[in-house]
Amino acid sequence: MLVEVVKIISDPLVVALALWVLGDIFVERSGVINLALDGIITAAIATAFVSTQNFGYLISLLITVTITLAFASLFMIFINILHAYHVLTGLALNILFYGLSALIGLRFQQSPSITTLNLNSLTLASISILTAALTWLILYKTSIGTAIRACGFNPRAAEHSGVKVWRIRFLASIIGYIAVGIGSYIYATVYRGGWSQYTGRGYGFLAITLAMASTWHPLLSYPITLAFGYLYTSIYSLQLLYGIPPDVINAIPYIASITIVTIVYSTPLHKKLATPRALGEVYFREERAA
Amino acid sequence: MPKVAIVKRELSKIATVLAKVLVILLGLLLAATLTSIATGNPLKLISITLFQSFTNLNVFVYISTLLPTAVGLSLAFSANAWNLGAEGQLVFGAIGATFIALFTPLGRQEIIAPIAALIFASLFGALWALPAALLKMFRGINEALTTLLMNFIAYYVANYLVKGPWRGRTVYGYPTTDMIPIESRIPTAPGYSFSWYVVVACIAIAVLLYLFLYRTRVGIALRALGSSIHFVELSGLSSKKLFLIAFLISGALAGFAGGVKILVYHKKLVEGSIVGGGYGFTSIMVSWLGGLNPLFVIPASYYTAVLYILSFGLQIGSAAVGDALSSTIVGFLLALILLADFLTRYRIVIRFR
Repeated sequence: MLVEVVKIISDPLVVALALWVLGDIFVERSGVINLALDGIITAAIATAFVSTQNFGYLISLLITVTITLAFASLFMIFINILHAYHVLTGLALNILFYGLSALIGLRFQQSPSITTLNLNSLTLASISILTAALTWLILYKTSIGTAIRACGFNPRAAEHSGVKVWRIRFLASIIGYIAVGIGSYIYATVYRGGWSQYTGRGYGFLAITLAMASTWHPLLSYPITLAFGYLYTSIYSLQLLYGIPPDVINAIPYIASITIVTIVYSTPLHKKLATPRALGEVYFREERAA
Repeated sequence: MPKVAIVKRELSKIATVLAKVLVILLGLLLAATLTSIATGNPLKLISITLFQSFTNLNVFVYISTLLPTAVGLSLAFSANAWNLGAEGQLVFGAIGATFIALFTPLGRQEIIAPIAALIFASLFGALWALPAALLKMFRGINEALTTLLMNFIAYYVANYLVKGPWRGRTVYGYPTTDMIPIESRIPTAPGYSFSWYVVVACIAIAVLLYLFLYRTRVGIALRALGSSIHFVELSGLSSKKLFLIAFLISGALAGFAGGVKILVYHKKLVEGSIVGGGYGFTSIMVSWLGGLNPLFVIPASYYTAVLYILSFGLQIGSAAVGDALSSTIVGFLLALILLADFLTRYRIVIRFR
């Protein structure tokens, strides 16, 4: 049992997923529906892959995080400055980033695979655990974190208490997308070690789902990610042992996410967890008097 | 230090439409230039491909999926119901249509079969939209996220059906069901894979929904729901009921589009992501491009259909690069539309003190 748990905690795919989920929590806690995550992850994975091939592991990490932040900034410019609807921006940019990821990969790849980076289980496990702890510390124990959560809960009230909503949303996405960039790097270099067109597509939506299932709480998100990580990595053995079709297992995170959120919202729990109520609200500063 | 502020403005309808058309044309020009640089083809060849895409009759294949879905969504978005689940509702509509055509005696009746299948497809689509609507109404759960997740569940339900209980007996390779009986198929235009009946029906739906949304009391209240719930409640209509109506109609129309895809195009149920094909997501942008007005959604869906044709035209050189390029260009054009939306609704004021 313990061996199994250690195996899951240090599974590179689970570590990458945990980082994506935590990054998403940062962004969505500030009240932005983070649908562009899927496209950005796809593009970041392609970037990590080709830059590792061309420049080596260390510089690749830097490039990946930088590019991820550039994409995230584009997303935030649309939301904070152009006042575009979060959902529409996310969907439009997703299509753009899918295309860009393939262009980046096809243009710069030298061979379809790289030697995977060997990290021991302790390093991998500590990366995800530390990120989870750090996310919780920043969100719940610092003034920046309080401001971020306030923007996600009620941006108008936050602005009244002296928080600059646009700035905080920008900041939250920068912090969050650093984690997303590192997660994509781990996925490309440690887990996958290869790239084909649109590798990684769909994980962004899975991360959004898992973040929602954990009611956007970083400490809850970690065990939930581990649980779904277990389901995902043992999808074939579950089919062989118990005859559960893989499609049923694939659907579990989505069904569970809706169920958990329904339960949380039906009980006083949601007051305790203070889920981001203003999620997806386009914040227009001049309107605060109304 | 100059002071920069973003201020709301209200442009006339004509100016808004003109701005959007201008952005679209500009976008196409940029897209053609980018493609010619990236693929090394002369600009003239690209322009010819572009022009041919506008006159290609195959646009109706895409219009008959995009138009009903986008019209339904424009209804939902007008009522501030963020239904992102059109993709899943479309897939579920396809499942409903397949069920009627393959597994009930109705599937063998001429004329009755396609009509019954389409009605059932709409019902299934609405059914798939229902949980998210109820959760929003009674629990206040963000409907954008729940509908988004329902898409993936619908994919997996379809996958499970075609790989498991519904798998065809005479099917090799990709898992699909058996072909649906000939009586239940909708006759297509000769040489093409779309049906004039469906195209006419789709345009009729758009016109009907326009009349509903702009000429009836309920429709006008629906649109008012987008700006203020209090006004609607004061007029004596239940805002919850209106929300539910908007949600269910959008689900039903997405389901209808899914049914059409089965009866006209695939003629059997295939895996979820192939039935859906991302059209549900694209329709969201189409309805927005049409300014949430069902009549303007007709040209918007035509334009988007042209983009699809164009992207196939670009794939001639290398399929992988062509697909990547067309995805980039479509995403770029959609982002430009958002920019146009900003320019028509807000203006930037710079003051020097």
